Amino acid sequence: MHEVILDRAPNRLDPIGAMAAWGLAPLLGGMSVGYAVVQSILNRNEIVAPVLAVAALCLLIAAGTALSIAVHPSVGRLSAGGAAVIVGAAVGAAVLSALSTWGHNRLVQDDWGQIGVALIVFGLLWVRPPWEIIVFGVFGALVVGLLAAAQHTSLSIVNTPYVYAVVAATPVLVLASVAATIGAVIARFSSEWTASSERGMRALEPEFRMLEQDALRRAQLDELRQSTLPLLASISDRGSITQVDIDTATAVSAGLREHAIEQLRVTWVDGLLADTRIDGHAVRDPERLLPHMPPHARAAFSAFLVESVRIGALDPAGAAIIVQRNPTVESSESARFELSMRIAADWRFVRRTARPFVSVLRSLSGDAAISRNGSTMIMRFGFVPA
Amino acid sequence: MSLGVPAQVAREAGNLAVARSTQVAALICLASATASVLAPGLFLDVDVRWWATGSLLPMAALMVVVMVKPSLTAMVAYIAVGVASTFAYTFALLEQTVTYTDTNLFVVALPLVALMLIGGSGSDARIGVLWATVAYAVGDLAVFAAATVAHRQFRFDSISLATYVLFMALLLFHGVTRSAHRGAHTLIMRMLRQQHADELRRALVAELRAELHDTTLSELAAIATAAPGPVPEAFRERLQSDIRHWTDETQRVQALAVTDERDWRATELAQAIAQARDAGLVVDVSGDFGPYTSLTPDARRAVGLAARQCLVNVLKHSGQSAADVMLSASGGAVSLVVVDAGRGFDVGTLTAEGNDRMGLMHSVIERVERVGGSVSVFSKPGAGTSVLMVVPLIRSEDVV
Repeated sequence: MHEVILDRAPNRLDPIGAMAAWGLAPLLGGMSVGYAVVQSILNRNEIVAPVLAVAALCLLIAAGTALSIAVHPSVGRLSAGGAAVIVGAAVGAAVLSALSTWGHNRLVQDDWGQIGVALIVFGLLWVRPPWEIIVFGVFGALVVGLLAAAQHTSLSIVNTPYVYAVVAATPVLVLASVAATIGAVIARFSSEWTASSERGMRALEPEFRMLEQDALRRAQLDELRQSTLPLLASISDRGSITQVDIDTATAVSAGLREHAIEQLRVTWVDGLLADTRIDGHAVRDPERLLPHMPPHARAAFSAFLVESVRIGALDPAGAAIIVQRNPTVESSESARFELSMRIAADWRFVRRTARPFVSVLRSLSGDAAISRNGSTMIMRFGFVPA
Repeated sequence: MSLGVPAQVAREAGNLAVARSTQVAALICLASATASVLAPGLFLDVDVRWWATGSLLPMAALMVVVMVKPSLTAMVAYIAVGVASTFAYTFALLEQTVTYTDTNLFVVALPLVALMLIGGSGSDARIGVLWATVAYAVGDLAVFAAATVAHRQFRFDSISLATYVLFMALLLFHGVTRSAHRGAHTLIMRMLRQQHADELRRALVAELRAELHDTTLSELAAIATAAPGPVPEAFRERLQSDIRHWTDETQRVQALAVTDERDWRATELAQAIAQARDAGLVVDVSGDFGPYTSLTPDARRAVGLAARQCLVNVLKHSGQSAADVMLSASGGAVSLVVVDAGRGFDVGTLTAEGNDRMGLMHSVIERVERVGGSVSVFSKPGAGTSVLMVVPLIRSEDVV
């Protein structure tokens, strides 16, 4: 459990929560840039290298922008390398800012460098695992701490350099620890709930089985009572077979077999098409991959489709579903799913409705996305047939 | 990879995440403050108040108490001790460092920040704002007092003020977003369960088809290929056995303890369980449904709606994501128990004015009593809750 808590990014475990809270990163990015600009203006008399000061601000803006794009619901992912680049840019901005006032800086607490690094590291909370955030935080704290200590000769308050290092490093350590702790708690709750939900689902099986078995048996009995059982009973009573019995047995047997095959041919896709009034011919699945879509992905997709049609966001008429083996990846096991449907409402409303479902699908497949082509919405995601 | 968590788990996880993270942050602030007051003594030749290094320890200890066993008393004690600690720490800091001419200093702000972060341990974002504000205000008074005693200028420090604004913004953000879009999760879970049931149905259909093939279809094939005329005695016996196979009531009873599956699914109890599951609660149902479906429609409805309220209470109050529903019948009565292992409550407060358990009082106890039943509630703080409903088994036909 501890490995899950520290190794997993919260957005992989609670994609809907991550999607709902995506605005945090741009907010923090904006705050860090705003604070940097204000502090630069207030302490402009300390700046001795304006070019470096401007470069520092630009680098921080770049870090905040990159972070905001990475956490946006339409992207929703950030690799460890990407995160390192973003944190590196924020740390670089802190270094440039310190260099721009080198020898003339009067108060470490007025520097924006450590606050910028702290807020950017904090912004990673949903997209990177807690242990990485701790590493980024410690790295950032070390750099800004060393920078502050190295400036002790020019500072107005006479104290040991260790105090300057503490003053600079503490904001970074505090916000990194806040982000890592939040991530760890979310990961723990999500993992525990998922495990308990899966246990619950398994525990439901006997209940479902009991109810379904009875219903199916009743339906079967009703079907047999129509002609099969009377036929068998009459032959048993008479003790002989007539030509009419032979003809009837042939016809009844064929009917029962045909019905049995029909029932077995029905898949989850047929149920979904019936629920959403999408034409059966809308599905192009030559390799019959859809029946093998993993249960979680099919539940998320089905829920999206049923809800979108129910609220009138999408029009089932003219919908098209294409499923094929993914030719672009090495693993030939991967399949590509594409749904095209006519938009029946405002695009922003459709996108807002789809977002939580897409974020769940992305957490399952890694590459789910929706886009718009004229009046058509296109949803794409990959899956590995189960 | 996950489908995420339902609203009540998200709320619970969010509140705990805020609490834990702010508690850890407060401890780091106190550690940094201690390092700040300790460092000059270790590395500079100054007149150091060594006692000051221990002034923040009681505050840190109380924060650990809040972490381990959160309570109103612990939080109040944290603020009270925190104020005294902040005063002692600030006084020592100002006394030992002559260049600290006023209180607008990061090192002065550290215990203040640690104090206001107690707001994260509040039961709710709004309550947290109040705790943080009170703690910040009294903490600043302590700084003012220390500055006065140390003959330094008191100035509002911009660091703690900025931290307060950031903290309030984060609490507000958390309050607004923590339950957003969770309806999608409910829909996905409902779909997952429905599709799981469909899969199971398909598997059962396949089993039933195999059974049909081995029995009736074999006999029909034999008849279809036979010549007209008398049938052997063994074949007649096979036909009779086949008919018994499908019509024998005992077989059906073995397959299912429920009197009528359609009746059960239409009941308020079954729907209450389905709704709770849709909302993300893992409901484990055990026992015999038969006697419940035999209750009069009024009693069945009352018990079903009461059970729904119990499950809603589990979702809202227990802090748990699982509950058990147990059905049984004995002595001419049907019993239903809804059990959770959550945080529980003091049963003595159930009849008190203004308690937040009115749902249990009106929607469970009074409702069941109206149909001649009785309700017993077993609960105490930290020990979960069990609600037992007992309704006399008067069958519909008896009433008629």
